Amino acid sequence: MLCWQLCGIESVSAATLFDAELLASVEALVIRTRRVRSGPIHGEHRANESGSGLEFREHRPYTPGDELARVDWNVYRRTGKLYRRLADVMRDLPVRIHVDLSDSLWHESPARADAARVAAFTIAAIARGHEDEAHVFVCGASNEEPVRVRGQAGLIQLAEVLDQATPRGRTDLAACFEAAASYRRRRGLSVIVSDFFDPRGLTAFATALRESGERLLLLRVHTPRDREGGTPGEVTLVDCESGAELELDLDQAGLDAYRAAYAAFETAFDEMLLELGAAGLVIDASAPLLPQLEALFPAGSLVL
Amino acid sequence: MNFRTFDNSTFAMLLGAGAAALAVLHLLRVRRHRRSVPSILFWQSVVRTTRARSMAGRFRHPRTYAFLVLLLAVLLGALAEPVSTASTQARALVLDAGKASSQCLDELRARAVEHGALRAETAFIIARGGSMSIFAPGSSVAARRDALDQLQVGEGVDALAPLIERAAALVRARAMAEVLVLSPRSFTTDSVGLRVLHDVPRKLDVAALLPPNEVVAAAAPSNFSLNVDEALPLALRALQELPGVAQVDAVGLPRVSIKVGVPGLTIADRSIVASSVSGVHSALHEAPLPPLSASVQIGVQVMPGERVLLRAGDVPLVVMRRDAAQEATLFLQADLFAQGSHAANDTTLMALLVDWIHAAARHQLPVATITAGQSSALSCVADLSVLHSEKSVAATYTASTGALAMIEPSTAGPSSVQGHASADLLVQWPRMESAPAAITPPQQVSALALWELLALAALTLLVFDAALHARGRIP
Repeated sequence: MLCWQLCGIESVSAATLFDAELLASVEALVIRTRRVRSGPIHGEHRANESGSGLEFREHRPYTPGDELARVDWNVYRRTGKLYRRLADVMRDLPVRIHVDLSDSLWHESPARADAARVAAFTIAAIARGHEDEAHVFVCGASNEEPVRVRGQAGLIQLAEVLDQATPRGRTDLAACFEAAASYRRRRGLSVIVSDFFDPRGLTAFATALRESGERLLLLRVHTPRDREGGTPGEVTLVDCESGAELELDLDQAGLDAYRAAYAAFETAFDEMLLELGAAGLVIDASAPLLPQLEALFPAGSLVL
Repeated sequence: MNFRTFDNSTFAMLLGAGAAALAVLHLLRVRRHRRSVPSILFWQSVVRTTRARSMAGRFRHPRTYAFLVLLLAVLLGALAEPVSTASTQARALVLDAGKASSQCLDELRARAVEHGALRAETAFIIARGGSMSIFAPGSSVAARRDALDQLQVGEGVDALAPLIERAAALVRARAMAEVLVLSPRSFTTDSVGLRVLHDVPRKLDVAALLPPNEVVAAAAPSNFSLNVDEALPLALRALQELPGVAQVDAVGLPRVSIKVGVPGLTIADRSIVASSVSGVHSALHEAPLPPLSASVQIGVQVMPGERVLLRAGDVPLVVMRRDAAQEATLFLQADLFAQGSHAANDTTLMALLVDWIHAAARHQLPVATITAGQSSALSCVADLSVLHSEKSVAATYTASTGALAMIEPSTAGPSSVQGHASADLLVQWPRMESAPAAITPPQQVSALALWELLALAALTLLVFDAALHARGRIP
């Protein structure tokens, strides 16, 4: 029996996700980058190419063969020299959102999967609000086709997909991230929403992230109980995902050991953020999500 | 404290083995709760910590273990039938009143009193040079006093070694028992008496059933004298709670002495008759039984295959028959009849018989098997079947617990009872040529009898269980 069934979790509904108040709250939030790779779709982010446009970038000396239309005749009139006037090209930011819905996120009640889904939906909504195309990948034991969020219709479809999502088995973040490689022909922003309880550890996943060259935003969903570890006693611990069992005579020393291990995990996560130059946020699944997400956007924008 | 069933080392060994078994069970006792966790990734280090302390960490309920060991000790103690040694300092006193004591009889008598000859718990032997009186522990103090008052110096001289052995046999089941010999003979530097501290071994092999050549010197070699009183002091207690027995309040029935091999059968119709048995008593006693208040001593001579009928007034009490087939076997058969014209109705008789069995079992005839009817039973257990009028009433006596399961009195009052109670008791001794049986004297079982120990254990268990529940240790 799956964990979420055991726990009797009431999953969030599409109505909850596609909440007008939520959408209005995140409308003012924006994800900014200094440059994006050139692409075919117009957006709000400066591309690393220059061309025609309204946003002046620089003047360059005219060389034979350049388009005469780019010559800034006002400069020629003042200086008698030919210069080309170059402007920034504005392109969209490809956003890939990986939301981990493996069994471990459905373990408690309320499930941290709820917070993960709402966070993924919110990031997608922020991207859509600024003409960025987002692809949302639902991670688990099997990886399916992503949901493309481009307009309002895509956002509604995403809400429905997330609403109907069920526990997806074991966590394998690296595999999930690798499965989305074909969607990363243009470098963009990868958002990973997970508890990061990956049996393979963080190292393999960090390597995959590093090699992607993506801008990264890691949202780690946790609950306060993760840090506590429970109460002492003679217990058989059952892994929610693998079903593996561990018999323990749990006393205070054992709990201290667990807490130390969990603290080491949190430290490793922070160090991974620093190493990757990624933005990150630890989301408390038992607390309201929006205030936590807003903390990620100081002055309304998240600069990556 | 000693134990009747086990010796101390066996008890300790059993307790140790039980405690070890409990410890193993305690270590293996795990009641785990299943708990689902998002990931056991972080618990791996806890496993390493747990394994580091392994077995010691498993032993998490030392108080429970201590309680179980205590419970085991109590149960073992109950099975072992503890005997207190502190409260009953066993002593056997031998007074040598043979020919050599003619000059100091008064002094011997005084010393005997001084050393507890008149105390009921003291085994007391008066050896008169060829005859002797034996007072087992628990026997009548009045009889002792009478014996001392009427003490006369005998003509012969007894060997002291058998006397000491016999005295030791009377206290053999008690640790640190002592045998005190009062004799003027110069077998030691002390010309008056010898005090022998005799730490009686548990399996002392002594001749407590006297060989004929020691006691009945004048008799034929095949004869022997059995002083049943050594094993069966048939002191009947008052049975006021039973109807129709008010007049049998102080029956001191008797040492029954049987001499085998001497021709003749003594039967009296209306009284208990004791024939003179050389070496035990010198006088013929005839004591009219009604009102059953006399304390008499009787001796009955029995031929192999013959029967002796003892009567208490109109009531035949005991028929004893010497079995000819087995030389060393003595059948005691009790046929009890209640006559309507006699005050001692069948209830009285049944009480007498039960008390007789009680006495036999209480003395734990060590090699005797007591059977009831056709069914055999272990020693110290006697079943008594009573056929009363048209209904059958059963009384079961179990010596180990001292409980009389049921004894149903018949209709009360004289002249109204017609009943019949019978019981066949088979008492077997080993053949005389083999190791003679030792007589176990009465023992003082400690205050905690078996049922009391069990009740205490159960009570302790309940209290402990309640305490655990109160503290929430047991869900």
